[in-house]
Amino acid sequence: MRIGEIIQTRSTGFVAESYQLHQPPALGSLVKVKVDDNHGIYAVVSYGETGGIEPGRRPVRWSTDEVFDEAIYEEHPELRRTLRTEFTALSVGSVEGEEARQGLPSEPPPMHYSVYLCQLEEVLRFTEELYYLRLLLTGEGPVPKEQLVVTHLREVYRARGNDEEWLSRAAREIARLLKRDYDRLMTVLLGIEPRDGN
Amino acid sequence: MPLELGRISEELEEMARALRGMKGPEIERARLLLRETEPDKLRAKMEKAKTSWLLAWPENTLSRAYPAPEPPLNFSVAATDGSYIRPDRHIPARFVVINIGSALLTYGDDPMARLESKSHFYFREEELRIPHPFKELHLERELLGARRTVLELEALVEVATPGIKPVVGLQDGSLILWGLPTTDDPDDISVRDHFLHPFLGALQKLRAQGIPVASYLSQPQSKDVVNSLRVEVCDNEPVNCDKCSYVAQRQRPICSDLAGVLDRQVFASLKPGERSDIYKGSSKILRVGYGEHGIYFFYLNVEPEIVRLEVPQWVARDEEKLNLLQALVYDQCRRGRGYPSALQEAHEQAVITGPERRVVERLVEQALAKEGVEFFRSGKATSKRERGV
Repeated sequence: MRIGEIIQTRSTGFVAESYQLHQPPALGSLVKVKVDDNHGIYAVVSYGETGGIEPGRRPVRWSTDEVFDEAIYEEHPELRRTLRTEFTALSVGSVEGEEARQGLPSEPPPMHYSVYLCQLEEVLRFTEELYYLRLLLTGEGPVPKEQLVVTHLREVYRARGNDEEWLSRAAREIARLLKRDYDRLMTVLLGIEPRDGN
Repeated sequence: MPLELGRISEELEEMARALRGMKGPEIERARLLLRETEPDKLRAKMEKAKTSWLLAWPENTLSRAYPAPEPPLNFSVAATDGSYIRPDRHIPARFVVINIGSALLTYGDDPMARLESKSHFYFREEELRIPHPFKELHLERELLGARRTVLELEALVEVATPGIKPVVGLQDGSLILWGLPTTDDPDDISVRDHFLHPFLGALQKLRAQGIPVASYLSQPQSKDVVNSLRVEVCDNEPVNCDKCSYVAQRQRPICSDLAGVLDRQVFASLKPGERSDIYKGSSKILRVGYGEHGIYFFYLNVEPEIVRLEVPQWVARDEEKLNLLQALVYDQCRRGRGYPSALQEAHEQAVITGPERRVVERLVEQALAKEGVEFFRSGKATSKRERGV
């Protein structure tokens, strides 16, 4: 499913504009850019934001006693054209033919290319290896990286049908990566601990 | 910073003191005249009057106010606006860019917005020059403004046509093409027609589709109605400013108290949403060129300001269209915080930003370089860009 178009691109990731206002892909979800028929780039959504399209136009309050929330968009249909939702993703791997490789891609994805949400099967295949987690832990961005990893791991855990074996493997990988930073490690481990109904 | 702000601010204080409480009695007097003047008598007096100012011809009463009707449940508002890059005589290539922004906003069961812009690039000799047998008429100043207004109105036809009915069309500024020649000279007529023909053609298309159109003037400086009141108070018979008896006796003319009053100050007595009665404009261009599309106007209180709306005759004389226009313009201003949302969005689409202007200049420079034309900037232009110290 195509969900957005790249509007900033760099070696470590990209920023895309969402096709739907207020509907960026979930934080931590795996997305893909198809560079051509044979090449693609995998990335993990690390940030989302909605604001005005024009840098000089700040959003202002539109609500009244009668008109608020969704009704504001009905009263001011132009808002759907003057606001936009953007999301940032950190590149974590690439694919050539059938072979996926974890790590930074050799080139940034092309500007204005489409971003797709990965299908379940692709998520399962890509997350089998866990090397890419280190890219999430060291990536740039406003969301604290431990929280990003927690959200990502929970998302994949659910997608894998509450795969306990996978989650403990991921936890061991995180423990290795953060062995010198107890506080950050505990933030992740406490965050991913399965709870009732999870 | 060579601007002496300290000095200006001292003068500003004096200016503010002078403005405070000024013209109150004059405005009250104008309002009283508006209520008491009989339109038929005034029209008869105006027929015979010779003034140097524009007059407003009352269609019905002078002072009646009409409350805003409720807007329909489903409707749309179309608007266009334009901006341009003027020809720059400091660079070797002469060109004009006119960018027309448009907005179609649909309200009701299926709200929707369409925002677009379309750029026009003129560089050919025949595009930059208005045909005339012996005068050098370039596409600049008033004529450039007129071209922009024509393009705006033509774009309005395109944008408004697919709108959910009822639809109204709005433009910023005036529907009166100022600056066009108004004499009977056949060459002048051909210049006039060069602009008026497509303009009136666009108005005719809107009329044929039943789409009322208006232009919107924020903070209008016009005095047409007050000028008509000056005719009313004049005791010279007939009124002829060139032979004013007061001036002849070196006295202040009897009408001079009203001279500083603006129409919008007189109509500030309108309640929110109310409009004034309809007046007909008297510019010469309307008489000689507009035919059945002659421009009328009224004032509307859109909170917090009194604005002027200009409409063609076929809207002014159609109560249903006039009501729709008043209801929707007022509704637009309420949605848009005092200025119609559709016009605001059309403006945003039309604006050519500083960086965009520089990109256009760079593209021109590159295109010229490719053809081996040196991009020579005048010394003044170079000096302004480099600003060396």
